Amino acid sequence: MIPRLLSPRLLSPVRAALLAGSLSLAAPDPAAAQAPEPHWAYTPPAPAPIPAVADEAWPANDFDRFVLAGLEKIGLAPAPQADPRTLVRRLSFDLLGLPPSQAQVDAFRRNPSDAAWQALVEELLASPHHAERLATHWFDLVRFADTIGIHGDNPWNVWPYRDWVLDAFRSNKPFDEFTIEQLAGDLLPDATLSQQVAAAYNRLNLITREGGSQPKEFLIRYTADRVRNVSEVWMAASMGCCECHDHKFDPLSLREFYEFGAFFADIEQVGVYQATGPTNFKPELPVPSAEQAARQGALEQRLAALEAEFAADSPELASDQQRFELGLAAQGWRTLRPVAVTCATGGRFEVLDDGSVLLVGEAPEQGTFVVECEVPTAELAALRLEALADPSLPRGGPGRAENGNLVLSEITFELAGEALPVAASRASFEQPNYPLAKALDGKGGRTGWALMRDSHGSAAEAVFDVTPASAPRPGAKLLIRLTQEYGSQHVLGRFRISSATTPELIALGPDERDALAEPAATRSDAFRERLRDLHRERTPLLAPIREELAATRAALEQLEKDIPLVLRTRAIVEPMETRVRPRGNWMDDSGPVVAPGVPAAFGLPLASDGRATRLDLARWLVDPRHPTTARVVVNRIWRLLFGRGIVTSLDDFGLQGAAPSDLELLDHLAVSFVASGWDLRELIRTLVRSRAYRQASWAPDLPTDDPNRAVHFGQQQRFRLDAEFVRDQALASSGLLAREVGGPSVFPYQPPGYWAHLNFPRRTYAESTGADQYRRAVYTHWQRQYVHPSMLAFDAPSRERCIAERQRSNTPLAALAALNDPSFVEAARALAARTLRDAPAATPARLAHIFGLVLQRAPTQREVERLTALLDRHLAHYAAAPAEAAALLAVGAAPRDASFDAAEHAAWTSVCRVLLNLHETIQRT
Amino acid sequence: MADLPRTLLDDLSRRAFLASSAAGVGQAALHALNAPRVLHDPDAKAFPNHRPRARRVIHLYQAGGPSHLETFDEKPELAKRDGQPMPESMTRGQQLAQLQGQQLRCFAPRFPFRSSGESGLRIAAKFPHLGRVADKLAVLNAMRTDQINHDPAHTLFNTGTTLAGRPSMGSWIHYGLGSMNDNLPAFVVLTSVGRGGQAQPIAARQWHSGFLPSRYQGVELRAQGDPVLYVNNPGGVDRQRQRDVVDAVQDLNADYHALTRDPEARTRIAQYELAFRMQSAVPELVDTSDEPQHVLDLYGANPGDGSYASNCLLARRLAERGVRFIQVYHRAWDHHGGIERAMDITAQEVDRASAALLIDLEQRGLLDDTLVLWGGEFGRTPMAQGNGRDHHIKAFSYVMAGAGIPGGVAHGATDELGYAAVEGITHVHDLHATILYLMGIDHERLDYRFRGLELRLTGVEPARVLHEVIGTVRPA
Repeated sequence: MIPRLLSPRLLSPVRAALLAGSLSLAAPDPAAAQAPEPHWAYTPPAPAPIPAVADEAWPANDFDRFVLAGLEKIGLAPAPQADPRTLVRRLSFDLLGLPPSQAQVDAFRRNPSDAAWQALVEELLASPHHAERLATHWFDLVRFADTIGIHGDNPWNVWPYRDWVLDAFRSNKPFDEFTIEQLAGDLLPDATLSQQVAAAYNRLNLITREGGSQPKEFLIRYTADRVRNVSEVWMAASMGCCECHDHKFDPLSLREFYEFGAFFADIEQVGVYQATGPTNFKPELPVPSAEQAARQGALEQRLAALEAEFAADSPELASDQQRFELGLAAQGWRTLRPVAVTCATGGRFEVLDDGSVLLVGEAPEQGTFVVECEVPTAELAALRLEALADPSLPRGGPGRAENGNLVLSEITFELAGEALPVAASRASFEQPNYPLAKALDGKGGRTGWALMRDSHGSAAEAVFDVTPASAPRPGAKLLIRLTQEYGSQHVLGRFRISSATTPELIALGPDERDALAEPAATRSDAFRERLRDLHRERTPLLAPIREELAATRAALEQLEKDIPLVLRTRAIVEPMETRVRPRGNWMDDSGPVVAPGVPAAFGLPLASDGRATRLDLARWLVDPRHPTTARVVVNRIWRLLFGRGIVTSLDDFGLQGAAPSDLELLDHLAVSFVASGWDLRELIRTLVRSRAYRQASWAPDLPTDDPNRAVHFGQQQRFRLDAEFVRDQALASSGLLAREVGGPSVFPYQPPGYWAHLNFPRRTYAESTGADQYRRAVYTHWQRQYVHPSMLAFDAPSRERCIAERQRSNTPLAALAALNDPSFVEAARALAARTLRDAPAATPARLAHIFGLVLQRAPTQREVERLTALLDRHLAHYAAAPAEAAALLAVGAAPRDASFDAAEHAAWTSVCRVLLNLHETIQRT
Repeated sequence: MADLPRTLLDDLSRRAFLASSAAGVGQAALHALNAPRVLHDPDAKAFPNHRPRARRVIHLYQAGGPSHLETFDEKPELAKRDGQPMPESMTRGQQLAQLQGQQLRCFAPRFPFRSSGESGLRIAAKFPHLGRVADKLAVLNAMRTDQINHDPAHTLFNTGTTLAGRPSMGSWIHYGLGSMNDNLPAFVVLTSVGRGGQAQPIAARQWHSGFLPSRYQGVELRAQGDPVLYVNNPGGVDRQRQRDVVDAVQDLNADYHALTRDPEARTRIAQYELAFRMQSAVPELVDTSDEPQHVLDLYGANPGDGSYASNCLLARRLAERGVRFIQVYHRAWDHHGGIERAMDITAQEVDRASAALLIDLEQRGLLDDTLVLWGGEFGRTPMAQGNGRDHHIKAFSYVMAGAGIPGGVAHGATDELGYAAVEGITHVHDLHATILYLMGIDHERLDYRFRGLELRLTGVEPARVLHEVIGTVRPA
């Protein structure tokens, strides 16, 4: 928090210059603004000489010399080294986001040498959990989340990108490649699957599927969202300010904002999506595992062989097809004029001259139309329902909903009092997610067959193979029940029923039936092909091969369904036109069309061959001469390891941002980082091996109670763990933590009803079961609008935008979450069980065990006395209240070890709840 | 010197705690914390900067976009032109939502209007209870917004912009003025769902604190499950057991603070105490068994059912307990089709309780310093969408009451068809400026520095305090 008295408003030289009239607001000419002395962040980092220090004994590496020189300059000595336990906890939380083991602490306490420290550093850097810790930070920056963020906040397929990030950190992918693959992996020559997955980064912007939204407006928003994110993540530049006007303080212009946006004009996307998720936010990229890819190949091969076999000609098949065609030609649909149509929930029906039925007057909200007909002949084999347009219907129909749509929830047939089963069916049109099959699934409700096309209802037919077991008597009563339970008048407005005497007919669409009446010689090639296919699909001669084909296709389909998808970034041939939008107004087309370009202020020209691409942009960002990228990265890593940045404004290196506390140190780190080949792990290694890192987080001679006391950037800070690690450490010390790395998102316990305000569709939260309930929080499903409430209480961001620095609040809601969230209570219960099982039975020994697991230290005598008093009270209470003990031990899904005395286990659970709620437990010092 | 910190924690078990008795330190620390009970906020700005007219806001948020033409904006000419094409001069080149590219025809208002109260304020007859309190209502008939779809329009209404990550009104006000109570959140959100229209989703962004410190976030008060998330004890833990656990946490944290002087440890002790108080204050708040039957009848409330009426009653209870900003969402007003029937249902859901809240607040002497707002994120088209109305941003109505605002008056006007606000045009930002003004805040001074800019609720364009609406003299 910036101390309010030191408002940069008062201090900013730019402000002063503005007031004095020496800097013009209206025309931020980059050249002019840079003329006297360029802003530090717009000139490339330069190597600085290693400074001399007075205390030669202190530095462990060059980097320490910078810190020490800085401290000496202001007359401060470095803080003493922190104690071994603090150091091991600090390192473990910083590198893994998990507490250390007691054994790790003990070992280092016994041998707190430099060599032992460096060995511990290497051990933790090699842990797969290190990647999880870094990824958590990265995901805040790139706003990685499992949902689209707007309106219904629907889920989408994105977790393979998380796996990619985890792999990248685990394999220490150089940061330049890490950048290039995310921004432009799809554009790399012969892009690998992994590089294409990385490019999903470009699809992480918020999107909408809200009806009535204008695609043009949202396409412009998506571009702006990307500009903001790239400029914040890699450049710590507030380019977002230029969406409406030239930047007020930084030499960035409105035009440059849109030029930057033009880099992303090639991304295949739509302005307003239709899908309800998670699939179909297209394009999507299948990401098979190696095993899935192999199996897919084998199945495809087998399928090709079967298809060839199926397609092969023979004289026997030719003559069989001739007979088949003759049979079809003799058939036709015959309209069944209803005897009666009724609906119990309202509506009047008129039977028109063509035998169709029109619903007139007020339509019921929902209802079942019961249509009574008479069977014309004994040879009933197929029935047809036509949903017809009519000028009297909303938007021409065929439904009575305001958009002309309808949802047929269920259709059933009854012949002479007996249910008439449907053997096969086919619809001429189906609205996505509303196939005819859902009207035949026996379920009714809001699912069914619907006919929305281009936001209107559309006429269509559905045909049914209903060959009865025994031939009906002509004139027999046929009842057709059209159940429509979607509501809001999604009911048929006009429809017609027909019958046919051959089931084959259902395979033919309306146009094809007409074509069948034409002489064989005049048939088109396409129709010939169609009839040939139709025959082959039906002739008994090919039944065995059809069966195998179907089985193979089903297996392949299932496999493909199981293959995870990820949002795909795919370039379209003709990039979308990008215009400057004056005042950010998407309806204002008066601005010039612009080509991709980078802001001039950064002083680094863009290299490109023809129209610049995202790949050119990515390479520009990781050009060693780029003024910000390396500085931004080292500054943020510094903050993870020390508590605050060398530049405290992590996301703003502009003129209004904070000045670097020590530019030479920042540049030394940045230059070394680039020289190392953008080796992130080496950067972290250098920092944590230093003496500076190992300082105590408070200096004994400073009054530390003052939250506003001056803090030197080279001093260690103490701060609360991020939300994810608050959860992770509780699971870890309780032994519940599932340490598997990677995979789809999981769903920890969440209070029922928390998603009640989501709609389209309504959603219920299904908690993960088994080990998935105990995964690290980096895998928790991230619902942008309803972030898991326990994590929200500990400042997890919504991930709607780039967050470089999370807030660290300390609120009653966080206290309530840690006290009462079942995840924490269950962890306490498991921690208690673990202790009862593993520790010697005496109370002090058990307490020592719990303290070892949670805090890696022994309890004080006072703590032993205090917690023993609590234990005794609760032991007495729960012994007298077995139902309460049972209720407490039933929190969470983890099985309870019934061999422990319930009262004892419950009382120890209380003790463990205390430990998991301690400030010390969640404070990194 | 160098050895001191190293020994601090490692030697914790051996360290003597001087004169402190086994149970003493924690409790003493707690008492010290509790003593001043100042609701001081280290980040809060120096507000109010002028004499406030209101101490709290209750926003009766009619989510989905109520039709101004069937509530507060009477348009006889629209009735006359029912079914006729809308004049193209009005609509050409303008943004529409689902009617984009459709034929546009006038759609007569569905309900008659009545003169209400002594003032004779014209209100749709579907709202007889609001009609009865007409003399308390200042109606703004010339509201405008920039956003034509629900999610962006709500975001603009609540945060002043459509960019994600900005603080909501309630957060700004909490930040500016601080809290007036110490065992409930200062910004509370309640929601109900109507039966008369599709329930559009509501994003938690609408009560998020954005870039402000997250303690300014709105807290949902729920009808289902825990009234505030995690406010109930775990199974098998009664109040005493919870107290025992919290006491032990406090004692150990006090020890830790004594040893480390970590100020956050001290804060945490205070927050745990506040949390524990919330654990009794929230159930007490939502337990309406002390409300007499005539009060329940006044609202038409059936406590615990999560209805708008019950939420209005809870809003009064929150107001009494010093909650600053209370937002009561009713997700019911998106009437694209069948608007006549839908309005009929929705009016019945909100009319009585909205009026009851004003009466109840007045009877308790709270209306004078409570600002009550009634309205949605936008209005609806004078054009038909089937037998309903589409979203509309050129004109809509809002109601203000309480805070000494003269009632029985309609301000501003739309054109003869209710398409566009033409007189006394009031942008959402003007309403924001007015709300802040009534709370004693100059909207240009309530800012927060974020990424190099001083950002504020009302944005960069000039916004206007509606002095002609709110009057200048506080009634006796």
